[in-house]
Amino acid sequence: MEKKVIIEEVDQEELSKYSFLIQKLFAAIFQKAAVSKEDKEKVFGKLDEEITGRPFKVAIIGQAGVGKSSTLNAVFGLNLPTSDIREGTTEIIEKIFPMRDGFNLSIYDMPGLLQSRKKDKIYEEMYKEILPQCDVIVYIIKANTRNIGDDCRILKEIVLPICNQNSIKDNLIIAVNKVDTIGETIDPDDPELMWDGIKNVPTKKLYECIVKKRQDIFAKLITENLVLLNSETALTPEQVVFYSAVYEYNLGEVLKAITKAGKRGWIWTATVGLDIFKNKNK
Amino acid sequence: MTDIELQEYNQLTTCQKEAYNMGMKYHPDWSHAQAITYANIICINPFPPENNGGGTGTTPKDIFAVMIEKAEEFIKRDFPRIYIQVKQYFVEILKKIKNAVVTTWNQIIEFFSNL
Repeated sequence: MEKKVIIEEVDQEELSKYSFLIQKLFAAIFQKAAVSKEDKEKVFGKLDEEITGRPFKVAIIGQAGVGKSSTLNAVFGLNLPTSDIREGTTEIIEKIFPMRDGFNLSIYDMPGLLQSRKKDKIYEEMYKEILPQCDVIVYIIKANTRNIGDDCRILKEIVLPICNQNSIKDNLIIAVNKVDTIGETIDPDDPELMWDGIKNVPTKKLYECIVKKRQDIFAKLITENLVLLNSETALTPEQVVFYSAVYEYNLGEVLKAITKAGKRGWIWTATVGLDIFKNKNK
Repeated sequence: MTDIELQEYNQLTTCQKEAYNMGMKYHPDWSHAQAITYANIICINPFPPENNGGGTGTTPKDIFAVMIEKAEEFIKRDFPRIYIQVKQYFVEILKKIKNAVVTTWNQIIEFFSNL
Protein backbone atom coordinates (compact mmCIF):
# COMPACT_ATOMS: atom_id res chain seq x y z
CA MET A 1 0.00 0.00 0.00
CA GLU A 2 1.42 3.37 -1.02
CA LYS A 3 2.18 5.81 1.78
CA LYS A 4 2.53 9.54 1.22
CA VAL A 5 3.73 12.16 3.71
CA ILE A 6 2.85 15.82 3.21
CA ILE A 7 4.35 18.62 5.31
CA GLU A 8 1.84 21.45 5.73
CA GLU A 9 2.52 25.15 6.45
CA VAL A 10 1.27 26.53 9.79
CA ASP A 11 0.98 30.15 10.89
CA GLN A 12 4.04 30.28 13.17
CA GLU A 13 3.41 33.85 14.31
CA GLU A 14 0.02 32.88 15.71
CA LEU A 15 1.45 29.80 17.38
CA SER A 16 4.42 31.66 18.86
CA LYS A 17 2.03 33.28 21.33
CA TYR A 18 1.55 29.94 23.05
CA SER A 19 3.71 28.47 25.76
CA PHE A 20 3.94 24.96 27.12
CA LEU A 21 2.18 25.29 30.46
CA ILE A 22 3.04 21.76 31.41
CA GLN A 23 6.73 22.59 31.73
CA LYS A 24 5.82 25.40 34.11
CA LEU A 25 3.59 23.06 36.13
CA PHE A 26 6.35 20.49 36.53
CA ALA A 27 8.90 23.19 37.38
CA ALA A 28 6.59 24.58 40.10
CA ILE A 29 5.93 21.14 41.58
CA PHE A 30 9.58 20.09 41.49
CA GLN A 31 10.60 23.28 43.22
CA LYS A 32 8.06 22.75 46.03
CA ALA A 33 9.08 19.10 46.42
CA ALA A 34 12.82 19.95 46.33
CA VAL A 35 13.44 17.43 43.55
CA SER A 36 17.14 17.09 42.73
CA LYS A 37 18.59 18.71 39.61
CA GLU A 38 19.45 15.29 38.22
CA ASP A 39 15.89 13.99 38.63
CA LYS A 40 14.44 17.17 37.15
CA GLU A 41 16.62 16.74 34.10
CA LYS A 42 15.46 13.14 33.71
CA VAL A 43 11.78 14.16 33.75
CA PHE A 44 12.23 17.17 31.49
CA GLY A 45 14.28 15.03 29.11
CA LYS A 46 11.47 12.50 28.87
CA LEU A 47 8.90 15.27 28.54
CA ASP A 48 10.88 16.82 25.67
CA GLU A 49 10.99 13.41 24.04
CA GLU A 50 7.19 13.13 24.34
CA ILE A 51 6.71 16.61 22.87
CA THR A 52 9.32 16.72 20.12
CA GLY A 53 10.52 13.12 19.77
CA ARG A 54 7.66 12.09 17.54
CA PRO A 55 4.54 13.77 16.17
CA PHE A 56 1.24 13.68 17.99
CA LYS A 57 -0.65 11.30 15.72
CA VAL A 58 -4.37 11.56 15.11
CA ALA A 59 -6.46 9.29 12.88
CA ILE A 60 -9.76 10.74 11.79
CA ILE A 61 -12.35 8.31 10.42
CA GLY A 62 -15.78 8.91 8.99
CA GLN A 63 -18.06 8.73 5.99
CA ALA A 64 -18.08 11.58 3.46
CA GLY A 65 -19.94 14.61 4.81
CA VAL A 66 -19.60 13.89 8.53
CA GLY A 67 -17.40 16.96 9.02
CA LYS A 68 -13.86 15.59 9.23
CA SER A 69 -12.19 18.77 7.99
CA SER A 70 -14.38 21.10 10.06
CA THR A 71 -13.62 18.97 13.14
CA LEU A 72 -9.89 19.14 12.47
CA ASN A 73 -10.14 22.91 12.00
CA ALA A 74 -12.21 23.50 15.14
CA VAL A 75 -10.43 21.13 17.49
CA PHE A 76 -6.86 21.16 16.21
CA GLY A 77 -6.72 24.78 15.09
CA LEU A 78 -6.09 23.92 11.44
CA ASN A 79 -7.31 25.75 8.39
CA LEU A 80 -8.19 23.00 5.96
CA PRO A 81 -10.63 23.58 3.14
CA THR A 82 -13.74 21.51 3.84
CA SER A 83 -13.22 19.56 0.63
CA ASP A 84 -9.59 18.81 1.50
CA ILE A 85 -10.10 15.28 2.68
CA ARG A 86 -10.18 13.02 -0.32
CA GLU A 87 -12.66 10.20 -0.49
CA GLY A 88 -12.17 7.09 -2.51
CA THR A 89 -8.38 7.14 -2.39
CA THR A 90 -6.51 4.00 -1.44
CA GLU A 91 -3.35 5.87 -0.49
CA ILE A 92 -2.44 6.41 3.13
CA ILE A 93 -1.92 10.14 3.47
CA GLU A 94 -0.16 11.47 6.54
CA LYS A 95 -0.22 15.25 6.88
CA ILE A 96 2.29 16.71 9.29
CA PHE A 97 1.62 20.15 10.76
CA PRO A 98 4.63 21.71 12.51
CA MET A 99 2.94 23.46 15.45
CA ARG A 100 5.71 25.13 17.47
CA ASP A 101 9.03 24.51 19.19
CA GLY A 102 9.47 21.15 17.53
CA PHE A 103 6.00 19.87 18.39
CA ASN A 104 4.32 18.37 15.33
CA LEU A 105 0.75 17.28 14.75
CA SER A 106 0.26 14.41 12.34
CA ILE A 107 -3.11 13.71 10.80
CA TYR A 108 -4.18 10.55 8.98
CA ASP A 109 -7.23 11.03 6.77
CA MET A 110 -9.02 7.73 7.04
CA PRO A 111 -11.88 7.07 4.65
CA GLY A 112 -15.10 5.63 6.02
CA LEU A 113 -16.11 2.12 5.05
CA LEU A 114 -19.27 1.10 3.17
CA GLN A 115 -17.97 2.16 -0.24
CA SER A 116 -17.55 -1.14 -2.05
CA ARG A 117 -16.55 -4.59 -0.83
CA LYS A 118 -13.17 -4.30 -2.56
CA LYS A 119 -12.40 -0.85 -1.23
CA ASP A 120 -13.65 -1.70 2.26
CA LYS A 121 -11.18 -4.58 2.41
CA ILE A 122 -8.34 -2.22 1.44
CA TYR A 123 -9.48 0.36 3.99
CA GLU A 124 -9.74 -2.25 6.71
CA GLU A 125 -6.10 -3.20 6.07
CA MET A 126 -5.29 0.50 6.20
CA TYR A 127 -7.00 0.77 9.61
CA LYS A 128 -5.02 -2.23 10.88
CA GLU A 129 -1.75 -0.63 9.81
CA ILE A 130 -2.39 2.96 10.89
CA LEU A 131 -4.63 2.93 13.98
CA PRO A 132 -2.10 1.20 16.29
CA GLN A 133 0.37 4.02 15.55
CA CYS A 134 -2.05 6.78 16.56
CA ASP A 135 -2.30 8.60 19.88
CA VAL A 136 -5.93 9.53 19.28
CA ILE A 137 -8.47 7.91 16.96
CA VAL A 138 -11.53 10.03 16.25
CA TYR A 139 -14.46 8.21 14.67
CA ILE A 140 -16.96 10.82 13.52
CA ILE A 141 -20.69 10.17 13.26
CA LYS A 142 -23.25 12.66 11.98
CA ALA A 143 -25.80 13.50 14.68
CA ASN A 144 -28.56 13.99 12.11
CA THR A 145 -28.22 10.48 10.73
CA ARG A 146 -31.48 8.64 11.32
CA ASN A 147 -29.77 5.29 11.72
CA ILE A 148 -26.29 4.86 13.11
CA GLY A 149 -26.47 1.09 12.62
CA ASP A 150 -23.78 1.02 9.91
CA ASP A 151 -21.37 3.08 12.01
CA CYS A 152 -22.06 0.83 15.00
CA ARG A 153 -21.28 -2.22 12.90
CA ILE A 154 -17.98 -0.75 11.64
CA LEU A 155 -17.04 0.24 15.17
CA LYS A 156 -18.03 -3.10 16.64
CA GLU A 157 -16.61 -5.38 13.95
CA ILE A 158 -13.54 -3.48 12.82
CA VAL A 159 -12.39 -0.39 14.70
CA LEU A 160 -12.91 -1.47 18.31
CA PRO A 161 -11.43 -4.97 17.77
CA ILE A 162 -8.29 -3.38 16.24
CA CYS A 163 -8.07 -1.07 19.26
CA ASN A 164 -8.59 -3.93 21.73
CA GLN A 165 -6.08 -6.19 19.97
CA ASN A 166 -3.47 -3.43 20.26
CA SER A 167 -4.46 -2.35 23.79
CA ILE A 168 -5.34 1.13 22.59
CA LYS A 169 -9.06 1.13 23.38
CA ASP A 170 -8.56 4.28 25.44
CA ASN A 171 -7.27 6.12 22.35
CA LEU A 172 -10.65 5.90 20.60
CA ILE A 173 -13.24 8.69 20.67
CA ILE A 174 -16.68 8.55 19.06
CA ALA A 175 -17.34 12.13 18.00
CA VAL A 176 -20.96 12.93 17.20
CA ASN A 177 -20.78 16.05 15.05
CA LYS A 178 -23.42 18.38 13.60
CA VAL A 179 -25.73 18.50 16.61
CA ASP A 180 -26.83 21.86 15.19
CA THR A 181 -28.59 20.07 12.30
CA ILE A 182 -30.69 17.62 14.33
CA GLY A 183 -33.78 19.84 14.00
CA GLU A 184 -33.63 19.67 10.21
CA THR A 185 -34.43 15.96 10.29
CA ILE A 186 -37.47 16.57 12.50
CA ASP A 187 -39.03 19.55 10.75
CA PRO A 188 -36.88 21.53 8.32
CA ASP A 189 -39.46 24.35 8.24
CA ASP A 190 -39.70 24.90 11.99
CA PRO A 191 -37.61 27.99 12.90
CA GLU A 192 -37.65 26.95 16.54
CA LEU A 193 -35.59 23.90 15.56
CA MET A 194 -32.92 26.01 13.87
CA TRP A 195 -29.63 27.11 15.35
CA ASP A 196 -29.75 30.51 17.04
CA GLY A 197 -27.14 32.25 14.91
CA ILE A 198 -27.21 35.46 16.96
CA LYS A 199 -26.37 33.87 20.30
CA ASN A 200 -24.57 30.95 18.63
CA VAL A 201 -26.45 28.40 20.74
CA PRO A 202 -29.27 25.97 20.00
CA THR A 203 -32.79 27.30 20.52
CA LYS A 204 -34.57 25.86 23.55
CA LYS A 205 -36.56 23.42 21.37
CA LEU A 206 -33.46 22.33 19.44
CA TYR A 207 -31.58 21.95 22.69
CA GLU A 208 -34.21 19.50 23.94
CA CYS A 209 -33.88 17.57 20.68
CA ILE A 210 -30.09 17.41 21.11
CA VAL A 211 -30.46 16.03 24.64
CA LYS A 212 -33.00 13.45 23.38
CA LYS A 213 -30.76 12.50 20.44
CA ARG A 214 -27.86 11.99 22.83
CA GLN A 215 -30.02 9.57 24.84
CA ASP A 216 -31.05 7.67 21.71
CA ILE A 217 -27.49 7.37 20.38
CA PHE A 218 -26.21 6.20 23.75
CA ALA A 219 -29.06 3.63 23.95
CA LYS A 220 -27.92 2.25 20.59
CA LEU A 221 -24.23 2.22 21.56
CA ILE A 222 -25.11 0.45 24.82
CA THR A 223 -27.31 -2.09 23.03
CA GLU A 224 -24.37 -2.90 20.74
CA ASN A 225 -22.07 -3.19 23.78
CA LEU A 226 -19.88 -0.45 22.35
CA VAL A 227 -20.25 1.60 25.52
CA LEU A 228 -20.37 0.05 28.98
CA LEU A 229 -19.18 1.07 32.43
CA ASN A 230 -16.39 -1.02 33.96
CA SER A 231 -15.79 -3.06 30.82
CA GLU A 232 -12.46 -4.38 29.59
CA THR A 233 -13.47 -4.19 25.94
CA ALA A 234 -16.12 -1.47 25.52
CA LEU A 235 -15.70 2.30 25.60
CA THR A 236 -16.58 4.46 28.59
CA PRO A 237 -19.38 7.05 28.19
CA GLU A 238 -16.76 9.81 28.34
CA GLN A 239 -15.29 8.53 25.07
CA VAL A 240 -18.45 9.62 23.27
CA VAL A 241 -18.84 13.37 22.68
CA PHE A 242 -21.52 15.50 21.04
CA TYR A 243 -20.64 18.80 19.39
CA SER A 244 -20.92 21.08 16.39
CA ALA A 245 -17.60 21.78 14.70
CA VAL A 246 -19.05 24.47 12.45
CA TYR A 247 -20.49 26.45 15.40
CA GLU A 248 -17.66 25.40 17.75
CA TYR A 249 -20.32 24.23 20.19
CA ASN A 250 -19.35 21.98 23.11
CA LEU A 251 -15.74 21.71 21.94
CA GLY A 252 -14.65 21.61 25.58
CA GLU A 253 -16.14 18.14 25.83
CA VAL A 254 -14.11 17.07 22.78
CA LEU A 255 -10.88 18.50 24.19
CA LYS A 256 -11.53 16.79 27.53
CA ALA A 257 -11.95 13.45 25.74
CA ILE A 258 -8.71 14.01 23.79
CA THR A 259 -6.90 14.90 27.02
CA LYS A 260 -8.05 11.63 28.59
CA ALA A 261 -7.23 9.58 25.50
CA GLY A 262 -4.56 6.93 25.88
CA LYS A 263 -1.11 7.68 27.20
CA ARG A 264 -0.39 10.77 25.12
CA GLY A 265 -3.69 12.61 24.65
CA TRP A 266 -2.75 15.04 27.41
CA ILE A 267 0.45 16.00 25.52
CA TRP A 268 -1.73 17.70 22.90
CA THR A 269 -3.64 19.66 25.53
CA ALA A 270 -0.54 20.56 27.51
CA THR A 271 1.32 21.91 24.50
CA VAL A 272 -1.03 23.49 21.99
CA GLY A 273 -4.59 22.23 22.54
CA LEU A 274 -5.33 24.25 25.64
CA ASP A 275 -4.18 27.47 24.01
CA ILE A 276 -6.25 26.89 20.89
CA PHE A 277 -9.32 26.21 23.02
CA LYS A 278 -8.58 29.17 25.28
CA ASN A 279 -8.39 31.53 22.31
CA LYS A 280 -11.67 30.21 20.94
CA ASN A 281 -13.39 30.80 24.28
CA LYS A 282 -12.21 34.32 25.05
CA MET B 1 -31.62 -9.04 39.76
CA THR B 2 -28.91 -10.61 41.91
CA ASP B 3 -28.23 -9.34 45.44
CA ILE B 4 -25.18 -7.42 44.22
CA GLU B 5 -27.16 -5.90 41.36
CA LEU B 6 -29.95 -4.92 43.73
CA GLN B 7 -27.42 -3.31 46.04
CA GLU B 8 -26.01 -1.38 43.06
CA TYR B 9 -29.51 -0.36 41.99
CA ASN B 10 -30.38 0.88 45.47
CA GLN B 11 -27.33 3.14 45.44
CA LEU B 12 -28.60 5.01 42.35
CA THR B 13 -30.13 8.47 42.65
CA THR B 14 -33.84 8.93 41.96
CA CYS B 15 -33.03 10.25 38.47
CA GLN B 16 -30.76 7.28 37.79
CA LYS B 17 -33.37 4.78 39.02
CA GLU B 18 -35.94 6.32 36.67
CA ALA B 19 -33.45 6.11 33.78
CA TYR B 20 -32.57 2.50 34.69
CA ASN B 21 -36.26 1.51 34.72
CA MET B 22 -36.96 3.37 31.48
CA GLY B 23 -33.94 1.69 29.83
CA MET B 24 -35.16 -1.75 30.90
CA LYS B 25 -38.72 -0.96 29.75
CA TYR B 26 -37.64 -0.03 26.22
CA HIS B 27 -34.80 -2.55 26.03
CA PRO B 28 -35.97 -5.68 27.86
CA ASP B 29 -32.94 -7.59 26.55
CA TRP B 30 -30.49 -5.30 28.34
CA SER B 31 -28.30 -6.69 31.07
CA HIS B 32 -28.03 -4.98 34.44
CA ALA B 33 -24.63 -3.56 33.35
CA GLN B 34 -26.20 -1.98 30.26
CA ALA B 35 -29.05 -0.42 32.25
CA ILE B 36 -26.63 0.90 34.90
CA THR B 37 -24.51 2.47 32.15
CA TYR B 38 -27.59 4.12 30.64
CA ALA B 39 -28.70 5.37 34.06
CA ASN B 40 -25.32 6.98 34.66
CA ILE B 41 -25.30 8.69 31.26
CA ILE B 42 -28.84 10.02 31.15
CA CYS B 43 -28.67 11.98 34.39
CA ILE B 44 -25.64 13.94 33.20
CA ASN B 45 -26.12 16.83 30.82
CA PRO B 46 -22.78 17.73 29.25
CA PHE B 47 -23.93 20.65 27.12
CA PRO B 48 -23.09 24.30 27.80
CA PRO B 49 -25.58 26.02 30.10
CA GLU B 50 -26.53 29.10 28.13
CA ASN B 51 -29.63 27.54 26.57
CA ASN B 52 -31.97 27.35 29.57
CA GLY B 53 -31.45 23.64 29.43
CA GLY B 54 -29.62 23.23 32.68
CA GLY B 55 -26.45 21.70 31.29
CA THR B 56 -23.15 22.40 32.93
CA GLY B 57 -20.79 22.18 29.97
CA THR B 58 -17.08 21.56 30.24
CA THR B 59 -15.32 24.40 32.02
CA PRO B 60 -11.65 25.35 31.58
CA LYS B 61 -10.92 24.00 35.04
CA ASP B 62 -12.42 20.59 34.11
CA ILE B 63 -9.98 20.30 31.20
CA PHE B 64 -7.15 21.59 33.32
CA ALA B 65 -7.87 19.04 36.06
CA VAL B 66 -7.86 16.16 33.55
CA MET B 67 -4.58 17.40 32.08
CA ILE B 68 -2.97 17.50 35.53
CA GLU B 69 -4.28 14.00 36.35
CA LYS B 70 -2.74 12.68 33.15
CA ALA B 71 0.54 14.51 33.82
CA GLU B 72 0.53 12.82 37.22
CA GLU B 73 -0.02 9.43 35.56
CA PHE B 74 2.97 10.14 33.31
CA ILE B 75 5.30 10.77 36.26
CA LYS B 76 3.88 7.80 38.17
CA ARG B 77 4.33 5.45 35.20
CA ASP B 78 7.74 6.61 33.99
CA PHE B 79 9.35 7.87 37.20
CA PRO B 80 7.85 5.93 40.14
CA ARG B 81 10.65 6.94 42.54
CA ILE B 82 10.31 10.67 41.77
CA TYR B 83 6.53 10.31 41.92
CA ILE B 84 6.69 9.39 45.60
CA GLN B 85 8.41 12.71 46.21
CA VAL B 86 5.94 14.84 44.24
CA LYS B 87 2.66 12.94 44.76
CA GLN B 88 1.32 15.18 47.53
CA TYR B 89 1.80 18.30 45.38
CA PHE B 90 -0.28 16.84 42.58
CA VAL B 91 -2.97 15.98 45.12
CA GLU B 92 -2.87 19.54 46.49
CA ILE B 93 -3.03 21.19 43.08
CA LEU B 94 -5.91 18.98 41.95
CA LYS B 95 -7.79 19.69 45.15
CA LYS B 96 -7.23 23.43 44.70
CA ILE B 97 -8.32 23.34 41.08
CA LYS B 98 -11.44 21.32 41.80
CA ASN B 99 -12.47 23.54 44.72
CA ALA B 100 -11.54 26.81 43.06
CA VAL B 101 -14.44 29.06 42.16
CA VAL B 102 -12.98 29.89 38.79
CA THR B 103 -14.56 29.65 35.42
CA THR B 104 -12.67 31.87 33.01
CA TRP B 105 -9.38 31.18 31.32
CA ASN B 106 -7.80 34.28 32.82
CA GLN B 107 -8.67 33.06 36.32
CA ILE B 108 -7.20 29.66 35.55
CA ILE B 109 -3.99 31.19 34.18
CA GLU B 110 -3.75 33.49 37.21
CA PHE B 111 -4.29 30.52 39.51
CA PHE B 112 -1.58 28.66 37.67
CA SER B 113 0.87 31.58 37.87
CA ASN B 114 0.47 31.65 41.62
CA LEU B 115 1.36 28.02 42.20
